[in-house]
Amino acid sequence: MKIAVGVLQAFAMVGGPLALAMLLRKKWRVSWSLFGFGALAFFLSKVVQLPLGSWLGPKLGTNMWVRLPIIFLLAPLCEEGARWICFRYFAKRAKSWREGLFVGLGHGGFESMILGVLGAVALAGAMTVPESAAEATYAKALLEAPPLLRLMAVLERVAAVMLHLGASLLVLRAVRDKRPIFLLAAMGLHYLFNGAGVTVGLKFGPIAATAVFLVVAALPLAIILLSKPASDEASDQQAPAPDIEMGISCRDLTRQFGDRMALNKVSLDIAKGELFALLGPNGAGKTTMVRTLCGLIPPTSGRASVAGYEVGVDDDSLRGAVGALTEVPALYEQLSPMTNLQIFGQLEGVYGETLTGRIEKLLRGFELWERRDDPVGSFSKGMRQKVSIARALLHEPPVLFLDEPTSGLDPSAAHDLSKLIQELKTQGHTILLTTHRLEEAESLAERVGILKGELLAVDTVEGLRTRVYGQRVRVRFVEAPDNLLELVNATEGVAEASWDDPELVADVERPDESIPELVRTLVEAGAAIRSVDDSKESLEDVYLELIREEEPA
Amino acid sequence: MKDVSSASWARVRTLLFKEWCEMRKNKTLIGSAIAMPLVMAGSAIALLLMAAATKPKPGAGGDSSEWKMLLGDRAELFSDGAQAMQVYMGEMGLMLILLLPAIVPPLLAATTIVREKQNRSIEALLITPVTTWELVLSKLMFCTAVGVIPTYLSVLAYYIVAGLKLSAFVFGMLATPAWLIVVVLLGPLLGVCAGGFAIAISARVKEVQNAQQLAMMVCMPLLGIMALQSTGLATLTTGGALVGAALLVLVDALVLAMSVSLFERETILTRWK
Repeated sequence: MKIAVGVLQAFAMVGGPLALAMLLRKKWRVSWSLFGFGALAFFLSKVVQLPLGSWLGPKLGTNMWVRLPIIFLLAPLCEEGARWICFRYFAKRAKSWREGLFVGLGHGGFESMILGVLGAVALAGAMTVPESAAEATYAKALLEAPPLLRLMAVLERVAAVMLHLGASLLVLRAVRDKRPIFLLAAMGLHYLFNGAGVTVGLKFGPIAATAVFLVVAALPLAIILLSKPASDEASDQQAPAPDIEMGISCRDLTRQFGDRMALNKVSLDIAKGELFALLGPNGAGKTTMVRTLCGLIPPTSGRASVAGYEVGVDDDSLRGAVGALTEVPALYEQLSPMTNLQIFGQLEGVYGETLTGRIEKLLRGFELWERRDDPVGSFSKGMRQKVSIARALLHEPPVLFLDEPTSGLDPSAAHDLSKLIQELKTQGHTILLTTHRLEEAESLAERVGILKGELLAVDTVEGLRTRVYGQRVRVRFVEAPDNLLELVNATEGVAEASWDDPELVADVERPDESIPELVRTLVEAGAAIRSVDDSKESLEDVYLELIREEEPA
Repeated sequence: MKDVSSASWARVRTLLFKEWCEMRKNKTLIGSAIAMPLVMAGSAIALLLMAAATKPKPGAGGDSSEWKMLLGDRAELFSDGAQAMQVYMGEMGLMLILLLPAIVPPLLAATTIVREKQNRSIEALLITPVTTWELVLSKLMFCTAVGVIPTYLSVLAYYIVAGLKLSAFVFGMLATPAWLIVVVLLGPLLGVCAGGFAIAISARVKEVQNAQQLAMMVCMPLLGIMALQSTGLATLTTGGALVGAALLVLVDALVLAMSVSLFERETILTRWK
């Protein structure tokens, strides 16, 4: 029995929290650094707590009912304060409940471990324990205590770890949701844990005290469970799932920077092998969308998948499946294209002869082979863009992001690059192209999307044209009948007609039926027709019209 | 965030190769990485030579009250003041060399990250499957190596000169297990600590100078130890050096975790213009 209790106690005080952390980490894939932040919070709190307690202790007199409440207040103030500092300034990644729990486990675990180690050291007589080292004295006393008391000590430690887990979640909620009430709740419950447990222990003995410890320790967790969850995780689960069969798929993808909404509930599917152009004015969120889809910045809400990988789930693997050309070439300018490509190829997992072969093929294809050993800094912007595209293609990714590839290039270099993109499209890559050059989007993309924070429209260029202008037909005459507009407006299938000298402009509903009918009517009315032309508004007109529609009046 | 256990050492090697290629092409960096050890080792050896030239004054024993104040109980071991002076100045020289791993890694780490942010190459790097652990670890390893290798070479040169110029007794006092632990273990550990701080800071600041100045604050504890040693308030012992190394291992682990956590891809990409 003694051995069992001893083993249990050692496990609870030294190995338990760490073993639990290892198990949970394996299950949740959270970072050890979060566990470390819990430990840091513990140390931070002790840095304040111990000297303050030593200084305050003698000043408080011997009256237990004055002394205990004030001394017990120190721990919640220092520990929850330290946790708040850690969450607020260091562990910004800790956003979900499981990460908060991990921080709590670090804090509670370290406290228990140190208590256990100090106790063992003190018991072995290897250290003279000063009176001020209350934890060591306490631990030593417990290790020397009878089995029942030691069992209670184990349960008290379990309760302490539970309290730290719950308090960490409350402080996390206070920081994340900017609700100080949760910080106060954590402090209050911590105070209650210390005060009520010890007070009851003094009056009614260790079993009653342990019961109080366990009940109070469960309260923070109960508050977390009962209060309305506002976690990102919860909102993520509410967003519909993306279609992982698509090259790129987004559902309600939202990204907010402070008060500014960069992307607002963008939903989009891009099929495998499709070249999709994303258009929009400066600051419309195009680069934010590319960065979010590359797994570089997490979405505020919503879900997305790229090349079968869900964004925010395994971003390192996702990044291995995409190639990206950033707005600037982003190369090591003092190094040659050869060295740049060797470095990036190896980082993408391509090695040896395969890598060398691909580099040669790409550099020859881009007519840069002769200059393979010159520093990239000596290249023109067009040449650097080509090296960047080669870098993005080295690992033959299924999905390519091209963020304004022709920006800042002269017309000839831009033309060359457009040809190159056309070739990439034929090789089966899914390509998301963001550009300001509308003629480029019109000539390259199968579909275009117009983004201005929200996705204003998605369609083929022809579809957008029809959506904005309807189907328009222009008719020129050698000789027009007198009652032309009256006649045309009365024709079935014509929505509206007007005279735009020197031609008639008519919006028709079903072009395949309405245009022959219109021509027949005009000829029967004696018109001599010179030409009939399906109107082609440029994509620029369509784009400007759509953007204008969204602007405030 | 993945942890160090999932780091791909092949990628870490590639990143180390990249750092080396970049450094080779940067004359300023190469210059400062060579000049600083030369200055420090040169000063330390100069101190040693000055001490070696000290002749004993007749009647002045090694256990005089001044030496006792500076060298503690060890002062009683010396037969004359010249020996005490040689040990005292020799230890100062060693401390000077040991500043190298505390100065070079943070200077280099701060420069390398801020420079990557300035020329935007960090964006291309972050789009690859490289994990934050791999990125931070490789930068830290490289910067620490650049700080530690010259330290080892400087210490080697220092001990060769000490062996040639000082008596076997004084040499033995300078080449104690405690000092060897400090050189072999504490130096690199301090380099990791200072470099880690520099990485954490440079991930958040925009100017190389800011990162370097803040990271140099890490050297302050070492200067404190120097001050304690030079005023005789503390004497380095083998146990003390081992405890210091053990503590630094813990601090390094914490600093590394902190650097990785503070190295936020989002902050680097969205708040850097």
